[in-house]
Amino acid sequence: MANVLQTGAAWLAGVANSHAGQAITYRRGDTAVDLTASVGKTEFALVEVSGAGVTHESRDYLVSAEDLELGGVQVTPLAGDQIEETDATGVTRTYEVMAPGGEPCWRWSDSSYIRRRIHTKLIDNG
Amino acid sequence: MADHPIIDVATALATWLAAQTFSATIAVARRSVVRFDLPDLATCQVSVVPADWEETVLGRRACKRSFLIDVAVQQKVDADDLTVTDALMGLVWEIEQAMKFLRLTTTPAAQWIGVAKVPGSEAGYAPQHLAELRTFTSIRRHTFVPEGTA
Repeated sequence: MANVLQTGAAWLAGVANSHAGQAITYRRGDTAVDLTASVGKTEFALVEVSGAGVTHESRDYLVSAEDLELGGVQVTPLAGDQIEETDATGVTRTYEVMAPGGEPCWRWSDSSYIRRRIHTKLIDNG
Repeated sequence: MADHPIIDVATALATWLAAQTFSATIAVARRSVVRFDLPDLATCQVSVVPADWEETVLGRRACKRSFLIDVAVQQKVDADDLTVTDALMGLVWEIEQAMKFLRLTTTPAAQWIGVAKVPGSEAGYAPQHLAELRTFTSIRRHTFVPEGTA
């Protein structure tokens, strides 16, 4: 039975999605699912190797674990999966799931295992 | 103001590379700094960058001068797809073989004499970029000697 904290976390996740949710498409190869996600941290950074630098926009998406289903099967995010997000002007940007600095490409965003925080980087400006 | 001779060498090399045909389509440019946004690397970018120069006195009227030029090959890839990363390693090798003993028509002419690894890209590519950015980056440092200075 869920305790009060788990119930509260589930309620909070629902409120976040309904009030600050962003429609996204989560894609792995040819399989995709439309979801509502909360957009988390967005940062800009540079990874440099011997003078050759690549700048990138990192963006975290918080999605309900139970909503992340591909082909009817609940999945965990994998590096290389892609998230498409369309902004208010109709531009669709593509973000790819990537692990920052040797970390896993996702982690739980709460102690009740309700939402996953997925780390991505912008790969297509639309 | 006169150009630094290493700029002539790097520009001539970029022009020469752009005129060659390789197994993959590449966009070549001479750059002072290699900085790309991830979306810019959907296609293969080759950067030619002046890196360093050396001059050693050999005698009372002779010196040896060499120019070090970095050639960087970069493209966003599926890091788990070996066929893609293998093809890019092949392209790096192809470029290097084409440059072997190349004589650039600079003034004076510059002769290719060698290539070396650079820190961070010792394996021929940078594992850090592949792991963190799912991007292939290879940087190799080529040495050219202007004729008449050695």
